[in-house]
Amino acid sequence: MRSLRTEELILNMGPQHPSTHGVLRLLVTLDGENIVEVQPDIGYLHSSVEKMMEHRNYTQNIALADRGMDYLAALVNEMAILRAAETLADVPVPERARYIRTIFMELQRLASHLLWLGTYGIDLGAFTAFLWCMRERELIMDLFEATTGGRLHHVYFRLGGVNEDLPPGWTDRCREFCHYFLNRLDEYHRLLTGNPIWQARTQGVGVLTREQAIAFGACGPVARASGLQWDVRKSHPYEGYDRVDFRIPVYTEGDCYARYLVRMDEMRESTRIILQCLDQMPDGEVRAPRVPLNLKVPPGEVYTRVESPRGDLGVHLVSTGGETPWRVKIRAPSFVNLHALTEMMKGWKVADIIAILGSIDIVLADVDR
Amino acid sequence: MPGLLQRTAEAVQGLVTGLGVTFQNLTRPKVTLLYPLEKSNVSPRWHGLLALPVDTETGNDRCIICFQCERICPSRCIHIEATGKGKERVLTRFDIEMDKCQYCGLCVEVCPTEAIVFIPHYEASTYNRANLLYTLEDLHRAAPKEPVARGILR
Amino acid sequence: MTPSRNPAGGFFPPELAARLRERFPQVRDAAEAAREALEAFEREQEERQRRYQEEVERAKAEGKPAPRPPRKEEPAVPRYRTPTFEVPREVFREVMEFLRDDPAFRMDYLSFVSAIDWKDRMECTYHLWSTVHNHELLVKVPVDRDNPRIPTVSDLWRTAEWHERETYDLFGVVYEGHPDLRRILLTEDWKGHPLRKDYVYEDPDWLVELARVRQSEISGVQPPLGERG
Ligand code: SF4
Ligand code: SF4
Repeated sequence: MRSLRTEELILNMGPQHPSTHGVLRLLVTLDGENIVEVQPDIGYLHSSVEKMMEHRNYTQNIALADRGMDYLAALVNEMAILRAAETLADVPVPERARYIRTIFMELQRLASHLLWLGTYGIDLGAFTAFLWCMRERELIMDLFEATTGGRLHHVYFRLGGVNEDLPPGWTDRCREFCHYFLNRLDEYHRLLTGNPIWQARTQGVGVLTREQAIAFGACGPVARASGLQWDVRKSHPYEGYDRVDFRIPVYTEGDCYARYLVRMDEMRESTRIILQCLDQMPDGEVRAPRVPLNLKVPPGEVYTRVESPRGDLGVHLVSTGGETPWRVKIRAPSFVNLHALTEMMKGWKVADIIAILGSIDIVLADVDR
Repeated sequence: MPGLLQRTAEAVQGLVTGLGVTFQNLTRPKVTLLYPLEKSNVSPRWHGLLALPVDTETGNDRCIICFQCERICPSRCIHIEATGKGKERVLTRFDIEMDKCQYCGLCVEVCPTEAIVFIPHYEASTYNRANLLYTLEDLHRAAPKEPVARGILR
Repeated sequence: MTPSRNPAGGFFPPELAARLRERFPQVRDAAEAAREALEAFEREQEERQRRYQEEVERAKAEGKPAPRPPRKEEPAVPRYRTPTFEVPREVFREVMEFLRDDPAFRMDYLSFVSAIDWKDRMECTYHLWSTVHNHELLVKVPVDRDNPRIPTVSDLWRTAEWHERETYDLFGVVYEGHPDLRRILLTEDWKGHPLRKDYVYEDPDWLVELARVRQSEISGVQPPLGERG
């Protein structure tokens, strides 16, 4: 029997493809059905936010961080910039504001994970998940809207606190939502976790071992699904995180299913954090007095990080004492996770590209900044 | 044969469970909105369009031409010019490029006289980008320049 | 030894820092020079404060209004809120390998690679973190600004591959030995490195021209926007 002649084929996926969740181009080298190599081509959304930040003061940078970076986790971006600036300038933050920030960051995590779950459901053909997730996410958006005035871009956190106090009745609404959401979470589990199609598409697919995860600098749910027990909220606690009790879900399989489970567990933990914060939250000021909007940060350098829904979001802030930073380096979690993707995809079939790509939950605005 | 029976039973059970969810959702309140016909209510803090409300008694806005909003705007989309000195100072230009505005609310926050405010209006889309340059008159009128969603339904 | 609550900027055990300085005399020299400069600055500040106090007292004795206090000055040596080491370029590779492989350090996680443009000099920055001991460190390497070259670390940490490409793209730092040093965010035909302080970010002529050419290429395929039926 004569053997068939085979040669490698280059498949161009994107930059506009419904499953790349943004403008990402994947150059996939195929050997038959098998993936030999994947080369992501990024930069379509590059807005040079780091350069723009050098020309604006710290308050304006909060607004920039909202838009220029990860648009699904705007409040966490604000916190990333603020944490660096507040550490360097030693800005006091009132206790109530710390709790409010914690609550909002966790709500943001819920909203982001819900959107991920919904779109991942669509990627794998489970349309119901999308509708359900959007339904719950809308309630979170309403909670945001009532307090910050924005649904995606809030510009709510300020140097030394938050912009405004919570509106009357908000805490009750939030608590009601949390209890409602815990029930819905069980519903998602019933819909997806035991679903044989869901399991067949995700279990054992796109495995990233712990060693690879560390070598590639993977972070967030991707690293935790590979057995790296690490969460900035625990290792470098900020705001209210050292005063609440929560668990870091860790799985060791490192496949798409483990990443899914990590995020599902995280949603439950986030809800628990919100409920605890609502109980513990003291009354009082929400904004430190006498922190000017054009604060001059003393010269120095600091690298701080916060846990964004996608992982370890770091900011290296270099100040020379002016109103504007000298250099801001944003260490984007999606950027490193996308790099890890090149390793995860090797050896899998074409049909798994979407399943693996969806499971790392990238936001292209975060990758390109 | 027992295999077939069991499979049938499983299929029926699956069908019943699925329909159960369907009927449950029939009784739950509706969460969607027929958008162009119904409008959603936005919160009082909504970051919508910007406006310079006019005082009905004096017929003037409250702007004291301090340029603070122009300076804080991260998108640099407010342009103010004024003539005259002291009490006689008048605005000759107050433009906001709404296509650049990111609805951050910093201008509203810094304004000492609450002259610039957000209005709860969220339909700012137009067919022409030039319509998104809001001049002083537009900001006084506090309404979008062009009715939105023209020609859709009714 | 690790404190229960890590400070925001991270923590690096002092005894390990001492070991690092001991092992690499060049690192120690750099650190000492920085410390001396800071101490000299503080002495000077104290001196100024003392002189000011004297003046105030003299003015009081003579019944004159008190003189104005001296302006607060900032030291030329930056204050690091994240533990930082300056490493000369010659020993850079050695230090990085040591930090990664020594069991007491085990800095196996590279957070980012970047650079800082100080207008007159340039520094490459590396942030390392240990998944085992949970301590972290910022390594800074001064490089020549006009011809920035530095050995790659992408063989030690795979993640550096993309970070170095990004820094090459935005700062123009050439990483020697990098397997695939191309631009990553900007297009291949971009000119200049945007995050350098001297980059002119008004639309340069070549970009306007390129945009025009691209536009005409596209409009050769499709009629311009206004004329579509
Ligand atoms: S809302 Fe923000 S972007 Fe818009 S005009 Fe005001 S300050 Fe500028
Ligand atoms: S901040 Fe208020 S008062 Fe000052 S120029 Fe702007 S709108 Fe007018």
